[in-house]
Amino acid sequence: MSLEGLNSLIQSASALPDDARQALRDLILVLADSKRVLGLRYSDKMLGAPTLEAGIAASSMAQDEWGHARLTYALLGDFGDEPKALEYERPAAEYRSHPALDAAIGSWAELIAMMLVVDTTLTTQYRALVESRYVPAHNRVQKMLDEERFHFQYAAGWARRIAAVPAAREELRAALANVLAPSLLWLGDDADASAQRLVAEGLSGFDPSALRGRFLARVGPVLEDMGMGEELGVRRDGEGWSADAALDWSGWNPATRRSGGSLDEVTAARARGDKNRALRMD
Amino acid sequence: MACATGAARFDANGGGTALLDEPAAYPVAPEARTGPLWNALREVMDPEIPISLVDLGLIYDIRQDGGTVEVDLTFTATACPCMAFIHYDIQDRLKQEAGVDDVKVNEVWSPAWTKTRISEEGRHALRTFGVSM
Repeated sequence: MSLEGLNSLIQSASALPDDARQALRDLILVLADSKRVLGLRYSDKMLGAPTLEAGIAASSMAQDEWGHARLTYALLGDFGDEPKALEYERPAAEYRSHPALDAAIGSWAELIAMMLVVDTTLTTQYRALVESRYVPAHNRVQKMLDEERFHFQYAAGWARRIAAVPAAREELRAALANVLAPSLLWLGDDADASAQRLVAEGLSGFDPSALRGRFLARVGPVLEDMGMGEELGVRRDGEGWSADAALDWSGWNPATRRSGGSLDEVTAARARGDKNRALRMD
Repeated sequence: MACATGAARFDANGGGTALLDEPAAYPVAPEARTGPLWNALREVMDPEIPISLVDLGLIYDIRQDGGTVEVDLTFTATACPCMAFIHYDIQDRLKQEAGVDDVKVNEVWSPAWTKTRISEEGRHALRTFGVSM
């Protein structure tokens, strides 16, 4: 659903029916937590990147992701939340970050896989928010999307480069496989009531299957260029793209977009900045 | 980095798609950026480069209601590392103005900042500093 198809804009979450407001709040919190942890994972590769420039790029993207997280947490003030409490006072078990971010990144190839797939998954969902009728999101998210263009270009460039190196190709393929399935799942279940409410109220713009199609249309050509599309079960399907991955909804919680597990407490402590809390500036 | 490098980032980035009309008041036209409050903020430099927040195009609006001043501020990038310092510098400088007791700074992101918002004075300062435009 596009903005043009709706006859009114939503200036505040308070104007939404309760169930739609809750679904939108859940979505925004999931995005905020995912951005925060993604930034942490990028920051872990600031040292040990293939080149100094690559390490600096990881640093820059980590900073971007934290900026995006900050803006996204701030959106939750419209829902009656206290953004600073969400950012700094929750235990690990309450984080709703993308499950593919639970594990630390081991190698540069793993980082590139995460950047290409997980970051693009989040961007796909953010783009749907921009195309929604929820004005506060539009006003903040467009700037993020502008910045995310660089991340995608950078990820695609590095992925192609790694794929051309025989010694590293398999590591990249395995890393992509690890993050692809949970990312397709993360985009949600069409049958879920909250997803349906988001679409019905014009808050997400597209149902989960359509979002998967948009995500695959973005990532698929890169996988195809690398000759990995078939191996990863991603292929052209008429005008669009499709993926073979079976989506297992057992245990799926649409509010957290997880089927279980949680972030570890050490990572959450870093996300909260516990060690230097006294120096925090607000 | 947000401020100095933010300008360079947008060279290659271009603008985004706007689905909503930009609020007419954002930003205040250059010729309307007059008066003691705008002049005060011309003295507040970006922490990274020698150019004022006004000339960098980060100040979108200033409103005064009695002793309270409200400033609409944007940043060159969502992750500007100097956000907190810039907030502080704005409040600190405006509170030096007669009759200003309280300063509220609103961060706004629409319309998004681009280098086209840098004033001629700002461009000259950047060139002098060695930043190509």
